[in-house]
Amino acid sequence: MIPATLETAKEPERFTGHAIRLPVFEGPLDLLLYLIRAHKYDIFDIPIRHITGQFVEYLTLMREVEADYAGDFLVTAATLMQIKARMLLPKTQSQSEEVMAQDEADPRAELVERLLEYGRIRVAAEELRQKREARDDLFARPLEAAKFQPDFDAELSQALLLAEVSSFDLLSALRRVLHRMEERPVALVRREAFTLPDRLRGITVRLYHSGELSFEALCDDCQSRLEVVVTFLAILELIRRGQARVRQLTLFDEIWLEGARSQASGARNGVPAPDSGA
Amino acid sequence: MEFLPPTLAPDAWLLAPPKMPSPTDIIEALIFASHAPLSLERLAAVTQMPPESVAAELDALREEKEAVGALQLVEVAGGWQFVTKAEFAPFVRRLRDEKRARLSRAAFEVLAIVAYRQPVTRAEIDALRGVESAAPLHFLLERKLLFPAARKDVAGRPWLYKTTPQFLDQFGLKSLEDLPELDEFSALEGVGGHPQTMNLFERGEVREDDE
Repeated sequence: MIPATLETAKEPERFTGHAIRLPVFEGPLDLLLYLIRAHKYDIFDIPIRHITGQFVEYLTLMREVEADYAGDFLVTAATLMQIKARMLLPKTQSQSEEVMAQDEADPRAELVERLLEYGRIRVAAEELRQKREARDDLFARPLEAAKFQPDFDAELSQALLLAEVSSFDLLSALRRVLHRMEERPVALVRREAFTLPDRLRGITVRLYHSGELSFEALCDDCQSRLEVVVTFLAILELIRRGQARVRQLTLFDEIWLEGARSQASGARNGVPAPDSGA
Repeated sequence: MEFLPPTLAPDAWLLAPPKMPSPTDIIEALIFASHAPLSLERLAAVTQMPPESVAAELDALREEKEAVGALQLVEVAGGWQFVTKAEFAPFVRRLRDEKRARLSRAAFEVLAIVAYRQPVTRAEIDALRGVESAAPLHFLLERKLLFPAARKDVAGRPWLYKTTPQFLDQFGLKSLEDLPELDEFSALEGVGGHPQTMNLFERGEVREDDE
């Protein structure tokens, strides 16, 4: 149902500042208008079942072409399906006038209104494009271009003053400076090889062999604050997973870590685990 | 005094009445010499003519220019100026190497929404287009065709965007009132449309049959 050209047709001259580039269609409304036009549907009586099918078909096709595409299409697909569902539902025998009125209303009305509105925008955009093209053919003396200062009202001229050095100008200036900075590295910082997953594995192995270890003992091979912190995080993670338990005899005393398997022996020794009410 | 050329002979300049240039010519000179488009008010002030007469002279001048020569008189945002006629564009373009950025369809749509609905927020633009519009919006802001005019007094205080005078100039518009009027349904040419009420009625009947 979707013409084969859809997947291949790309416009190389289009604005490319956007990370997500969709083939041909500007958005879901654009696609819907296209489908309505292509099938000569009546905009005021859209066959929702057909158009939802075609819409989803195109979405599937798009997913194959570009893995990462805008969620706007999905939102519209959901809207279409919702309308479809509402049209299939039988009328409720409700006493409430409100519900009756809701039932009488065409579920498609809101979508149609949006499509008409978008259609108007498309016409306006096309009109503007033609205006610009026509204006492009007229040349004034260059002096005018350099010192173009129309007598506009105060609000506009003040806003323009601000607009002259916009936040984008500032940002691009910042980007330039940062770029220059990147070109001359001050020092090389080696990436920390001490990772949380590594540490988790290490502690699990040690617990397996020793059954019970103090926090300090676990940190005996740490060479920096970061490594101590990572060890601590690894312990927290083990507790969260239920693979280990911690206990502390008194305040400020050594923190002991025991593997989940030796938990029973710990309880036998009469040492209360912290999560059992200590 | 016979050594003087005839034009400088005393009777030539003493007796002849001073030759006043025509108002049309004065206005032509002023517009040519101005470094920015000249407004009607400014022309009236400089020529000391009533604005209505200036307007009439401008019309006369425009018609005169249209008939002959390479220049035409146009009213742009901010006033009147001379520009080359469209048929000379290929030649002038070869002379000047100004490249105007191409605008994408998305950019034209965003521009159209702001032009007709200003002031609008980004969320309103997104809703009307049914798609996220940050990139074309930023592009237009960077090109100074749009500017953030104020903040809307709602949650998050989003920016309200408006078109700039550059927009009017680049699109050959005198003012926002000069924007083309939109026919509601021309967008859907070939889509075919029946009165909405009829369809609703038909559908209602079908439903009653179902029950």
